[in-house]
Amino acid sequence: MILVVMIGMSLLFAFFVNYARDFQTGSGSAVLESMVIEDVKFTDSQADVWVYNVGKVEFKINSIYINDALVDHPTLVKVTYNGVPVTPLPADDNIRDGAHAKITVNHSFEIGQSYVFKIVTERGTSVEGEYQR
Amino acid sequence: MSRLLNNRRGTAEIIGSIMFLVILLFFFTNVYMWHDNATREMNTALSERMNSQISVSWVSTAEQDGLLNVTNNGGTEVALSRLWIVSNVTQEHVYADLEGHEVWVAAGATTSIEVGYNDTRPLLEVTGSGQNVKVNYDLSDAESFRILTVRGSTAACSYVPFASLKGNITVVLVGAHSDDLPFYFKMECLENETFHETFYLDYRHASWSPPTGLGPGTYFITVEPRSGLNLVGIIGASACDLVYRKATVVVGGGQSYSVAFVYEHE
Repeated sequence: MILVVMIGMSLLFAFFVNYARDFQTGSGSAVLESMVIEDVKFTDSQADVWVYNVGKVEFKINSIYINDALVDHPTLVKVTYNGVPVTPLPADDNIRDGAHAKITVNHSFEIGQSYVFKIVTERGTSVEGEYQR
Repeated sequence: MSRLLNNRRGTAEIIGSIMFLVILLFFFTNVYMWHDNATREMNTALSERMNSQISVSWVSTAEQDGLLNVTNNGGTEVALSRLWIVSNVTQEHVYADLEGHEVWVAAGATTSIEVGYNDTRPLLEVTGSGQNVKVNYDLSDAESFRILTVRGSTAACSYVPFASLKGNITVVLVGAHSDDLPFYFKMECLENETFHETFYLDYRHASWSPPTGLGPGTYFITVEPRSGLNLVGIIGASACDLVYRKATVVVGGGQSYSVAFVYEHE
């Protein structure tokens, strides 16, 4: 009986340890995320969006919305850190704190029109801004 | 109580349960304190960002050169991260990385970044550091500048070519008179009807020497890019729309008068 209780408590203990670790590295770290959109450059069918990680943890861009419509396949194409390009690009697409990242989105843009960009990270942090072509 | 203590199994279960709860409490406290610390850290970062807002203005000093004046309007010093230059000719957005060049702007202070073109250098290159940082760029393609700080604040200004800053201001002063020096012209530069910068022209400038005080009359001031405020009769011009300038003349004793003026582009 003691053995069963010990095993049960060990499993419970392991669950809490795992939960705490997941919280700290996952949704709990959302509070440490912060980013700004530093530049948006338009072409007819594409926009280059530069974001700057001013938070305390790395993050991954999960989705980008343009005028509230989800954009397919935003692509991380360039990352710089402390003025130096990061090569090769991070395999997990994570943007470390203090890094600048260029993301390309495919969408049609008309001259003179304004577009609202909303960028959402994997942990749920979002930033948005309106830019005119 | 003595019955409970004599029951070894019961005592062990209670002690074991308490220890387990203490361990769980330790973990929850740990997570809570970590979260609290993280929140405090981000609040500090946010307040530092709020307290280091910058503004930026452009002053052309020559055909292909100028100064980008970055002013820290907050109470916390901040380092500059990037200078974005947007071109209206090539539709290019290019950036100069200022990180690594130690360009700091102290609280309430202004730091100048020299931007100019030297065709012996790469088209976009940052040299120097601190107060002596220079950015090599062909300004003939420029439209606007945007500065990004390491804390994520941004400020932007338009590029105004050298030639358009030149002009003459004719100030006609009627009714104000003072024989007492000092006096000076105070030109307030407004951009989009918002205060931008103030320029002064006072009697100490070498060739600005009215014979006696300041009397009714017509005064001519040449407006040129600020190649030096020591030049006589020259007011430094900035990257703002001179149409919206307003002039005040301050005479001895501190009285000030608004004056009508006409600005004509050269």
